[in-house]
Parts: sequence; C-alpha cells; structure tokens
Amino acid sequence: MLFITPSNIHYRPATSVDFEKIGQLLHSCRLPNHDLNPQLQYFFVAEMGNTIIGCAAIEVYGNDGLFRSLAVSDAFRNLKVSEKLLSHIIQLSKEKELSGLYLLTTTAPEYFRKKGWVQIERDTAPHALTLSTEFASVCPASAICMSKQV
Amino acid sequence: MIEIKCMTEDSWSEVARIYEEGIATKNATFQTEAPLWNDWDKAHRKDCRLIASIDGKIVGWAALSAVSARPVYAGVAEVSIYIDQEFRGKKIGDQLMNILIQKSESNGIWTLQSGIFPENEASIRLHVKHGFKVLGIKDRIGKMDNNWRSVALLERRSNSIGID
Repeated sequence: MLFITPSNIHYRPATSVDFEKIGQLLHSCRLPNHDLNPQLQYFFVAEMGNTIIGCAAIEVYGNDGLFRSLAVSDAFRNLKVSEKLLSHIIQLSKEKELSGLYLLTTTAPEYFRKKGWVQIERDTAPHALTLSTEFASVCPASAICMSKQV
Repeated sequence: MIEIKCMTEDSWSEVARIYEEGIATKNATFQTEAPLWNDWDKAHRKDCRLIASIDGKIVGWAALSAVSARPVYAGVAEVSIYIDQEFRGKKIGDQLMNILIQKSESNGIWTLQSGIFPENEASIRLHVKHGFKVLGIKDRIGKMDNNWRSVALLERRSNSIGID
C-alpha cells in the first residue's frame, strides 16, 4: 500500500507510452487533450506506483516555451504536486535555454500570479507561439495569457 | 424527478444492467459480469440497498457489503455505487450517496470504505465530496485484460456513530 504522502510521489519525464493516461487525466480535469503529440510536447508526470496523478508540459517554439496541461487528480490535492511539476518544467526550460514561458489559463490566473507569472495581452506573445493549436484553436479567446522569464 | 427507494429483488434485472454497464467501462470493478441475484443478495447487507429512479426508470443503485465477519468490524462496510451511463452528471450519485450515508449511520455503521480505480475520477470526486478521504493506493493490486491495475482506497469515518 502506498500511502498518500509526498515521499510516495515520483516525478519523471513522460514517454509516449504515458500519453493515453495523460489524455485521460486531462479529460477528467476538463483540459484540452485532442492535440497531444509526443513529438510536440515535453511532459512531466507525477506518479504514485503506476498511477499518473499529475502532469504538465511545454511545447518549444524557438527560444520560447508554451507551458500547458498542468493537471492534478482531485484525490491528490494539497501535496504540492503542481508546484513540483512547475519547477520541473522550469528546470527543463533552463536546460533547453528558453528565454520565456507563456501560458493560457481560464481558471487559475491568481495561482500563477503568485508564482511570479505576469498577465500579458495575448497578441504580445511570440508569433510562432500564437500559431500553436492551443493558442489558435483549443483555448477560448477569453483565456488569460501570462508570461514568465526563465 | 429523482426518487431514492429501497432495492428489492424486482429491481434486480435493471440493477444488473447498470452493473454490467459499469463493468464494461473497465473503470468500475475487477468483476467481469454481474452475479446472479442470490449470490449478490448473500454478499450484501440487507439494510442498506438503494435504487434511484427517474419517472419510474431505474437509473442508479448503491449498496453496502460487510468487510469482515468479526464482530469488532460490524460497523465497517464497503460501498458499491453505480449510475446509468445515460444519466451521468445529473447528481444521481450525490443523492444516492447522501441517503446511503444516512442509512448506514442509522444502521450503526461507523466506517464506510471504498476501493476505486484511480482513473475513475468522477467516482473519487463523488466520494471526496461526501467526506471520504483517500488513504492511499494499492499499487498494481490486480490484473485486468493483461494490465496491472491499481486501486485507490477511500474511507469515511462517521462523526455521529461509534463516538462513545
């Protein structure tokens, strides 16, 4: 039995095998999952045993990254899973020498503001990034765009 | 309008149909087919069996089974709850769970427990909403269709029964 404690949660980069489970998790968290593609997104997953309980991803566009798909299963709140995933993504962004990260959110602008993200106008995001599926079609126009220096 | 009633043998064919639907999702149970009424009847407590119906159509059910024959665990029971696929998202689970908890407490049950596939987010959410806590995950506890599956264990301790 793996008890619900932070020490039983492990973080690792996802492989293509994980994408089906990641898609299910995003679906249950009401986040877009139709455009998942192991060629396009670098996912990190949080895992207890073989159960994926959280995920987050970046899509790389030149020197910039689109941060997306941050999701944590409802049963595993208050274990700082999203914070850990976010710091893994930022570490990965540093390794990839990205200069800026961008995201779209409809539900959590306050959360990201506290983490040092700044709200920007959607049009000011890098052009290549605005052509991404998430920007162009998946996220509604009302979504708030935010940015953070890596 | 949703109506919650006690389950009787008459409702078994509809209860079994909804059970089979749940089995087919591969996210509800390791069971591969609904049992016969007699077997199910023997395995479940008689005092906490409910059906939910809308305009006379059975759209969900809930029941409890004892976890142990030992007297010390007489007030501990395992939850089963199933909702007709076509009637998901209509708060039927909420209403069934409400009444199930009330009935369990009026029958002296102090602990309800549930084993849920972690992928079954809707069921976990329903349980957590009604006061269940996730204790942990039994990692790769059983095999289904050649895949090892894990089960999340949830528990709800009553604040009104077994508090002496």
